[in-house]
Amino acid sequence: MTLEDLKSKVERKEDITGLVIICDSVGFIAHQYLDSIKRYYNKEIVDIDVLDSAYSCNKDIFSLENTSLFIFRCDSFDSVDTRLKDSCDLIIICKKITKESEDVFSTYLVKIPKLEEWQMQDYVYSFGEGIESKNLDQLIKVCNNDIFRISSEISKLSIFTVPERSALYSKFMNDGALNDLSSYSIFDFTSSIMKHDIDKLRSIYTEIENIDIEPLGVVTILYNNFKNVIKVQLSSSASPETCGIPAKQFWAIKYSCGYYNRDQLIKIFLMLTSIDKRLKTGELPVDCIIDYVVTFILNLV
Amino acid sequence: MVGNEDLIKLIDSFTLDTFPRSLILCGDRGCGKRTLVDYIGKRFHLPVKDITKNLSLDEITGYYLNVEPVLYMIDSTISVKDQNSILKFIEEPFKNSYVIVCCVCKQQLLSTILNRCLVWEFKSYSKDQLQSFTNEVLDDKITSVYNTPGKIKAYNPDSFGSMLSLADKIVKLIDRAGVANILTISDKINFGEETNKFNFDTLVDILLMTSKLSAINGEIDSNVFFQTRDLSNDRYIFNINRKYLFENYLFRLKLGVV
Repeated sequence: MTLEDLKSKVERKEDITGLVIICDSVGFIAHQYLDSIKRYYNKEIVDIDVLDSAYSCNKDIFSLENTSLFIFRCDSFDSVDTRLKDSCDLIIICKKITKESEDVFSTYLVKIPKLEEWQMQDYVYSFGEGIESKNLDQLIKVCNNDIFRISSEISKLSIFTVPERSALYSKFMNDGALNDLSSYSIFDFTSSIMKHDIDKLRSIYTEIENIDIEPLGVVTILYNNFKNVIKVQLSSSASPETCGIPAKQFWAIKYSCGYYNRDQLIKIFLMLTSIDKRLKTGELPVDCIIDYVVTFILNLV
Repeated sequence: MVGNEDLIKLIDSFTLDTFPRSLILCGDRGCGKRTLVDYIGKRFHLPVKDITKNLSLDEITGYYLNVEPVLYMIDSTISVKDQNSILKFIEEPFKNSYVIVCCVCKQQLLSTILNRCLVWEFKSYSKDQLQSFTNEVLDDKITSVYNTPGKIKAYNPDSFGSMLSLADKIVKLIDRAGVANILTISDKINFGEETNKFNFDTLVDILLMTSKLSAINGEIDSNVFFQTRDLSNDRYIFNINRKYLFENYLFRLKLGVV
């Protein structure tokens, strides 16, 4: 069965009979179809944990008709039991399917292709009528192309009327409703420090609480990076061999050199190596570490 | 057991009923804390059980339910959280249970643990006592660093000579060394499980001895000795990153930071 066949069945509100296997690596579209089916389906819908439950209706020799639609979910579908073809009305939703199962059940299989970015955009635009397209694009970016998250956020806005949505979106942004999401990572943060990129650092710092950053992880990354920069920048005759660094890494480190002078590098290294002792003796609370590191380094330059 | 006969006499003066239920043995690495624990176990016919890595709530409850007499040994390398979890166990051990905590220095333990236990400290070993543990000829320099039987047994003349030379260079020549060059020093030291590198604790002991002698002789500023003494004390802070501590120490020496 193709996706178009299934789609037209659902649009015509036809009952699903027999076996249908929907293979969707993300799971979003499969569940959308399932939700649509549930809305119009007349019979009882039953979620089952084991496939054997779907065979049991065939054992009831006195039943006049199938009265339920069975739903079975799994991550990877690997059954080759041909009894499934004669089972009750059954929808199997899986993320992956083995080659063997695919060969056995090819006529019952609906494979959903991976969502493309333009499709996500279309989806957001269709629900985001009334909101500027640049804001919708920002929403997609902030949600990190996670369709489930995008759907969740856009559904909050779509319950309002079209004229209200634009103003509400701005309110959401101002009130920080989307502030638990950030597209920055710990490496963006440390990289901006290494390259002394103040503008980027400022931008990341305003979202620091929304980034998954472990303070001691930041110290470790900065310690390693600054140590490598010191080895390369402050060495009288730096080379991969003399510095004890692989060649590729050496040349990558070279690009991080020159943003700080000798004195600054030494002071930063002293600061980074002192943090652990201060933390363990209670002198520096762990939640102040990032503020301490950033203000120390910015104060130096 | 060679040395610390006073402690042996003290132990022999107790009976099983009068022996302290909670005890701290405090002494440098290799001084014989574990040996003494085994001696106590044999003396009072108690099985010795090292529970340093078995201090979960369920396990401690299990120790309470154990009716047979046992001598429980705990190393002070346990975390602050574990120290807090054994407070009650140390304060009121089950009848027939004896708890001994071994530590290098009292700073490793919470004051609440110290208050709940009797503290016995190991005395220093004399040169003759240490000589009985090895065939190598020991001079004052060696015995000031390898000052316990355990350390003497690990003494290697070649390794000691190399570490002595490195320590001498660190305390006397570090201000002349390049910054990048200084960072190569820590690559020579075993901070964890690396083999074929210098033992960190032994190197720090040698640094302490070297800096003290050099400061007394006027070869270096006394600040170097004070920095080294701080390093020696700070290495016992629980869970401290020793590599960071050591590199910070080297850079402070380089800059002459007080």
